[in-house]
Amino acid sequence: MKRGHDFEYRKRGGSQRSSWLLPGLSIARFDWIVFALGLFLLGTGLMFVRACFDANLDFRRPDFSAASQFSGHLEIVLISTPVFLAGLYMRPGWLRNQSYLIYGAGIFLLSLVPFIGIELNNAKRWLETPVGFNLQPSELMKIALVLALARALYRNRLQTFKSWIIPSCIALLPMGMIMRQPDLGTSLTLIPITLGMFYLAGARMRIIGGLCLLVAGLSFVSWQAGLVKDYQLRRIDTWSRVFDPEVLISERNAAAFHTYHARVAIGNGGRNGSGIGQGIANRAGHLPAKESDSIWSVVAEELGLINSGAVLFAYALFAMLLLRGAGELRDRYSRLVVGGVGLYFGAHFFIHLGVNTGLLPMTGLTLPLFSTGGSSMIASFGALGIALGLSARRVAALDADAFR
Amino acid sequence: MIAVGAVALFLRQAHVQLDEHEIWSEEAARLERSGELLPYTRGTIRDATGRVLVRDREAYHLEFAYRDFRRNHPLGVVAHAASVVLLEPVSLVTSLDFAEEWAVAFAELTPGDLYDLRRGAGLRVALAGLPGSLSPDGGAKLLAAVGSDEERSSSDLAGRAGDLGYYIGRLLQLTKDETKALLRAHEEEARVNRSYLQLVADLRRKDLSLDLSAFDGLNEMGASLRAEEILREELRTFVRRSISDLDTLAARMGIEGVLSPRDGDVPAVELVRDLESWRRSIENAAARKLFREAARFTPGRIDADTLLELFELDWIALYMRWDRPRLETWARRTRQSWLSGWRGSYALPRLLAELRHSDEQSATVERACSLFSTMWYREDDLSLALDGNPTELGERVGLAVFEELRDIFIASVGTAPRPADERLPWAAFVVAAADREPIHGRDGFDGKRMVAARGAAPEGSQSWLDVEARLTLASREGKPTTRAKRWEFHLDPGRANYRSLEILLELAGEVCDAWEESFQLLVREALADARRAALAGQLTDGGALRFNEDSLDRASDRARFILRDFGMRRNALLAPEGLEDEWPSYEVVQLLTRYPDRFPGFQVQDARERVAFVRDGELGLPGVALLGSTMLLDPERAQGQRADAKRLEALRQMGKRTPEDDVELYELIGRVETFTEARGASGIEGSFNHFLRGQNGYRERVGLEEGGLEKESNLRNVTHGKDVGLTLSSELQLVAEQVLEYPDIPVPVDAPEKVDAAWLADPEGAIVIMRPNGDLVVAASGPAPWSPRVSLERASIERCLTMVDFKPPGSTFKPFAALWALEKGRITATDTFLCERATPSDGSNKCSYRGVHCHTGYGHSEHGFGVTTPLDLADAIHVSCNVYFAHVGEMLTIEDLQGLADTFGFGEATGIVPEGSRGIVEHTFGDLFTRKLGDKDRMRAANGLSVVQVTPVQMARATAGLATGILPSVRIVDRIGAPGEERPYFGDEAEKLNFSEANLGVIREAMKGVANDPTGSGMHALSREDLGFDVAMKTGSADLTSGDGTVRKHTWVMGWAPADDPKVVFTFFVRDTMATSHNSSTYLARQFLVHPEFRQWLSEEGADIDPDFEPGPPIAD
Repeated sequence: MKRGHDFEYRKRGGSQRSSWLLPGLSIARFDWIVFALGLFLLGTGLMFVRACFDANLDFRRPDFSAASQFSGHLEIVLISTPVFLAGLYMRPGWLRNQSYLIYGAGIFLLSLVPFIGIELNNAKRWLETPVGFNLQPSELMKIALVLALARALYRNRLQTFKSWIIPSCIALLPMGMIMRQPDLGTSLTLIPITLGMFYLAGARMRIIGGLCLLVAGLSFVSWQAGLVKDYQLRRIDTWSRVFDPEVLISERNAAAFHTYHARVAIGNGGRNGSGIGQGIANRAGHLPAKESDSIWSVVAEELGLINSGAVLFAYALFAMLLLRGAGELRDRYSRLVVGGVGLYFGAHFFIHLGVNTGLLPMTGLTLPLFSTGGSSMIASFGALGIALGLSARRVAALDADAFR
Repeated sequence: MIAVGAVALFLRQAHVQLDEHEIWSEEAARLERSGELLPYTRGTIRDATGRVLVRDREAYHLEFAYRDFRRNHPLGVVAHAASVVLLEPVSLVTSLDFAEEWAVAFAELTPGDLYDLRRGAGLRVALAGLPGSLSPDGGAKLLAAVGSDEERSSSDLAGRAGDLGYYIGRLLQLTKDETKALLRAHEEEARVNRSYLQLVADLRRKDLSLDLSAFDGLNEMGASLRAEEILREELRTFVRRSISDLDTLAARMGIEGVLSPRDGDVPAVELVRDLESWRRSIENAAARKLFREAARFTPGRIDADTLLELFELDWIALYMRWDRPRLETWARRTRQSWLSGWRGSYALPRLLAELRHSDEQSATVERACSLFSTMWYREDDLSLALDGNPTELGERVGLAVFEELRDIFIASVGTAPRPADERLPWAAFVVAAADREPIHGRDGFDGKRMVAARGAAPEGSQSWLDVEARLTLASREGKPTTRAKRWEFHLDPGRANYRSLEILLELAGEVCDAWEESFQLLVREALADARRAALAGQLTDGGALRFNEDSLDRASDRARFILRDFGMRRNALLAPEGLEDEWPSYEVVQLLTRYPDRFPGFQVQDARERVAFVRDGELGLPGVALLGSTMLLDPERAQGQRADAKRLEALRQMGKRTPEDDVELYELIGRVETFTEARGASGIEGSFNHFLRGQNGYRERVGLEEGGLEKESNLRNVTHGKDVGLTLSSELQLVAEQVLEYPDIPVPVDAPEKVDAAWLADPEGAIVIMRPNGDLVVAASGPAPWSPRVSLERASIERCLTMVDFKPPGSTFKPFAALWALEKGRITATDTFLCERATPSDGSNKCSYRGVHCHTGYGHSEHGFGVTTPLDLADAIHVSCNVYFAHVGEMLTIEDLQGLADTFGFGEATGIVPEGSRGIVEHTFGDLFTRKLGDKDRMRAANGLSVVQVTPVQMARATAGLATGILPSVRIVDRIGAPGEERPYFGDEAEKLNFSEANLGVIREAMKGVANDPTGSGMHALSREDLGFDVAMKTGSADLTSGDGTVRKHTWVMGWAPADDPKVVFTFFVRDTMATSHNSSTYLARQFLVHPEFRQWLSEEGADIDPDFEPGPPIAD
C-alpha cells in the first residue's frame, strides 16, 4: 500500500517541476499563499514581541535582559526554522509510518514530566533542555496527536462504534495526562482538534454534535457533582459576569485582573489603534503575559480594529487555506494531517482571540507564530512545515468533498 | 466554520473597540493618570504687635527609596548581586566589609559566564568573606553556589543572569552607548570569554575616556591590560568613595560610629543597619501583598504558628529569596503588625467612633458586637458598618479567611460557619438581635435575660459564657461588673472625659482578643481537618496545604509589579534617638541636595511643620495654653468625613470626568482633610481653624512616571490659610506668666502666717488684662505650661476661661450688687448700716447679720472706745463689708440677681469663642441664680459667695461694663490676613448698659477709694503712691473650705486704670490659698501693674501716667 501511494504520487506528480529550493516538492503545488501568510503572521508577531520588549526596556530596567530576551525569541525562531524545513521534506509515507512512533515519543515525554519536569506555580509542564528554553511536551503532543489521529483515521471513516475506540483512546490519553499536569487550557485545545479530525475523517455531524453535547453534559454534571475545582468554577463564573464592563471594572483588582487589563487594552485601541509600542498594555505594563498569552490584546490595541481586523482575517484565511488545501489532497493521510494542522492553528486562533476578547473564560494559550514560547514556536513551525510539505506533494482530489 | 468564527471574533472585537471604546479608553486614561495633592500652608498666628507666635515652617523630611539604593549605590549593587549568586539574602552590613573585593569579582565575570548561568551550567565567582569562599587573596575562583537542581528553573536562571548582568553594568557605570556596544558584542558572540572589566576597558580606551598616556610604549595587548588595570582601580575607588560618602552622611546625621577591626570608627555601619531594617520592612510588605494575591486575605489574619505549619509558603521564600528563618520572622511580624496596626489602629478606633457617634439613642451591646464582629467578615461588611449601615449579624455571609480557604488550596477545606454557629463567639447576638429586644441598654444589663435567650451553654464547649461575659462586659450573674460600668460610663457622651476613648479602646480590645482567640481555634481546626483528609500531592513535604494553580497564578501575575512597586516606595528616615528636634540637620540636607548622585536612594522632601517661635530668654511660648495645639486626622474625625473622602477617591479614580464631576472634585479637595494635614485641636488653633486652614490644591498628570510627562494640569490651586492676628501682647503675657510663676508677696514680720507659704511655693492663679472695649491683652494662667513645676496634667489647664473647681468672686461682686440695688432703688448711696459686734443681729456673739459674718470679726462700724459709725455705701465698698452687703442682698430679689447676672454677663459666654467653633474652652454657668434662693442665699450672693461663680475673663468683662457703661464682647482676634492685607475681625457687638451715670459714678468713686482711701482694702499695695496712677478696684476673698483653724479661699482683685479714664481693665485671681486678698492678689496685682512693660504699654494706650515714677518695693501690711 505504501509503495502504491508513492508510485501513484510519482506517476501523477512526475510532471510537476521541483527545484533546488524545494527538492522533491512541486514549486507549482507549493502553497505559496499559505507560506506567505505564515511569514506575514510571523513577521507581525516578531514586530509586536519586539515592541513589548522595547517597552520593557523603556519603562522598566534599562539593562540587557530585555534585549537579550528578544534575541532569545529570535534564537528560538532560528532554532525552529530547521524544524520547519524538516517538516517540509517529510514524505507522507514515511511520516505515516512514523506517526505512532512520534505519538509514542510525545507520550513518553509527557510521562517524564511528573518525574523530572520543572515545577512552576504548582504545575509541572516543562522539561529542561540544554538549548536555552524549556520544552513543553504538551505543545509537541498537539502535533503528535494530529499525526497519530491521521494515522488511525486514514483508513477509518468512523462508521461503526468499534471504529471510534482507537482514535478516541489516542485522543483521550494525552488529554488526561495534560490535565493532570495540570494544564486545562492545553488539554481543552485538543478537543476541537480531535473532533475536527473526526469530522474530517468522515464522522457524521450528528455524532460530532452528540459528542459536543456529551462533553457539555459531562462538564455540567461534573460541575453539579462538585468534580470541577472551585477556582475553575470561579473562572467560569467570573467570565460569565464580566461581559458587563461595570462588573469587570469593579473586579479589576480581584478575580478579573487579567481579563480587565486585556479588555482595557483592546477597547482602548478603538478604530485606529494607538500605534506600535504605544498602547496602554505596553506603557503601563499591567497586562500579564503580554508577549505570549495576551499578545492579541497588544495587537488589537496598537493596530486598532481596522488593521487588527485585517490581521485577524489573515489568520483565519491562513487556517482556512490550510483546511482547503487539505481538502484538495488525494492522499487521505496527508489530507488528515494537513487538515489537523489547519485545525491546530484554527483552535489556537479561536481560543486565544476568544479569551483575549472575553468570548471565552480566561485560560493561558499562546497564538502560534505570534507569541513567545519555544515549544509552541517549534510545534507551530513543525506543523506548518509538515502541512506545506504534504500539500506540495499533493495529487488533486477526485471530487470536491475529498474528505468524504 | 472558521469564516463564521472569524466574523464572530471580529464582531466581538468591534463591539469592544467601538461600542465600549469610551469606557475602556477612560479606564486606560485612569491607569495612566496620577493625581497629586498640593498641600496648603496653615495660617500664622501673630500677637498684637505682629510677632509671629506659631506658623507653618518649611522643613525637610528625609526619605529613603530602597530600590534606588539597590540599583545605584555600589553597596546595594554588590549585596544584591551576591544574593543573586548565593540564592540567599546577603545583608548590606555583610557586604560593607567586602564591597570592593566583590565588586571586582563581579566585574571580572564574562558574558560567557552569564550565558552559562542562564543555561544552568553554574557560575564560578569568588566572594571573599562568605562561607565556602576563599580569602580575597586566595587567588583562585571558587564555586560560590548556584543552587540545587530543583531551584534551577530556566526562567529563574535567566532572570538571575539578567539581574547579575544589570548589576555589573551598574558597578561599571556603563553609559547608554557602552550598554549598546556590549549588547552587540553579547549578541554577536554568545560565549565571550573576556570579562566585562576588559570589555569596558577596551571600549573606554577606544573612546579616549581612559588616559592614553598610560599606554605609551605599550603594544595593543599591553595597553589593553593597562586599561583594565586602570578601570579596576577606578572601580575600587568608586566603591571606596561611595562607602566613605555613607560614613560622612552617617557622621553628619549624628550617628555614632562602630569600631571596625578593618577600618576603625565606621559610622556607616549603623546607618547601613538602619537601611537594612528598612529593606526588611519593605520586603515584609511585599511578601504580605504576594500572599494576599494568592490567598485573597492578608497573612496577618492567621496566627503565625498556624500559618507556618499549615500553609505552603515556600513559593514566597522563592520569590523573595528568603530562607526558612527569615520566613518565620516575617510570619510573626506580619501577625503582630495586623493586630496592632490594622485592627488596633485602624478598624477598631473607627468602629468605636461609629458606635459613639451613632444617632441611635442606645448604643447597645448588640450594636457594639454587631459592629465589632464586622472585622471578622468581608471587607465590605466593615465598610458598610463604617458607612453607618452595618449588615445584620445574622444575615452575614463571607466569614473572613474561611471564604477564601475553600478556594485557594488543592485540598478541600470545609465551609465557613454561619453567624449563628455557636462556635463563633458572637453567635449569642444573632439570637439576641433576632429577638430585637435589647438585652443591654441604658437601663442596665440583664444577663439573666441573655442567658435565657441563649439557652444553656453547650456542654464541654469552650467557655462561651466566659467569652460572652467579657464581650458583653458584664458578669455571668447579670450584675454589671466594674468593666461593664466603665464601659457604660465612658460610652455616655454626657459623662465621658478625655481618657474615655483610650479606656473604651482598651475594653473593646479585650473583647476582640477573646474573639480572635476563638476564631483562630476555628481556623486551625478547619485546616487540620483539611490536612487529615488531603490526598498525596495536596500537601507539601512538610505537611502544609499546597496552594492551587489558580492562586499561585494570581500571585505570579502580580509578583513582578509588587516587588517593583514596594521597592520604589519611599519611607521616612527617622531621626536617631535624641536628635529629633534638629532632624534633619542643615548639614545633612546640604550634603544630600548638593551631591544627589553620590547618595542614591536618599531623598530630601519638602515638608511643613507647625512650630512655635520662642524667643531667646523665654522658657516657652507666652500664652501657649490659649494658643492650643494641632493634631493630625484622628479616627473619629476620619469617620465623620468618611462619605466625602470616599466620594473624593471615586472622583480621583475616574478616568474621565464631567464638568460637574470636576466641580464636585474641586469642592471635596478643599473640604476633605488629609491624613498629613494639621488641624486645630484646641485653643485658638481650634477655634479659628476655619481661618487658619487653607484648601489643598490638586494637580493631575497624565502619563507614566518613567515614560515621560505628557500633560500636567492643576485642577485646583492651593489656597493657603489666613493669618490670625491676636489682641494679645506677648510681652505683657510673658510678664504676667512670670508674675504668676515668681510672685513677689512681702511677708509681714510680725504675722508671717498671713501669707500662704505653700501657695508661694507652688503659686496658681490667673491674670486677665483687657482693654475696656473687650480686647484681651493678657490671659495668663499660672503655672504656665513652660513652668518647670508643672505636671503634664496641670499643663493643659487654662484658668482664665475655665473653672477647675467652684470659683466664687467674693467681694469683687459687691460693686455690681451695689449698682443694681442703687439702680433699682433698693438702697441709696447714703443709706447706712451698722457692722458691729455689739449688735449681732442673729443672736450670736460674732459680727454678722443673719448668719453672714463680717471678715473683720470686730465690725467695720466699731472704732474702739464705744465709738461706732454706720457705714454708707462708699464706706462699705472701701472696707468690703459683708454685713452691709448682707443687708443689700436681703433687699434684692431673685429677679434682681438674675437681671444683674444677665446684664453683666456673669456665667455667660464672653464672646471670645466664635459661635460653633471648637477649640478655646470657656466655662459658662447656665444655672446661675435659677434655683430658688432663700434670704440667706441672696445675702451671700450679694457678697459674691456660695451661689455665684465666675471666670476671670467674665469678671474682667463685667468690670469693663462698670468702668465704661458698655458691656463689651471679648475678643482675642482682631484681624485676619497677612500683614498688609489684614482685614478686621469683629466680635459680637457691645451692649450699652442702662445705668444712670450718677449711680455709676457712685460705684466708680467708691472703687477708686478702695485703692486710695485710708480704709480701702487695696490701699496698702495699689494706691497712687504705689503705682504712680490711680486705679479703681475691688478686692475679694471667697472662702471655700475651713477646718483646723484654716480657711482655704480664692482671692481676687478687679478694677481698671486709670481710675478716671479707663484704658485697661484687670482681674487678678489667686487660686486656693489660705491668705486673704490683702496678702495675695493685691500684691500680685501690684507686681504686674508696676512692671515697666505694662507701664510702657499703658502709656502707649493713652493713659496719662508719670513717666518718671519709680515704684518702691512692696511693703508688708
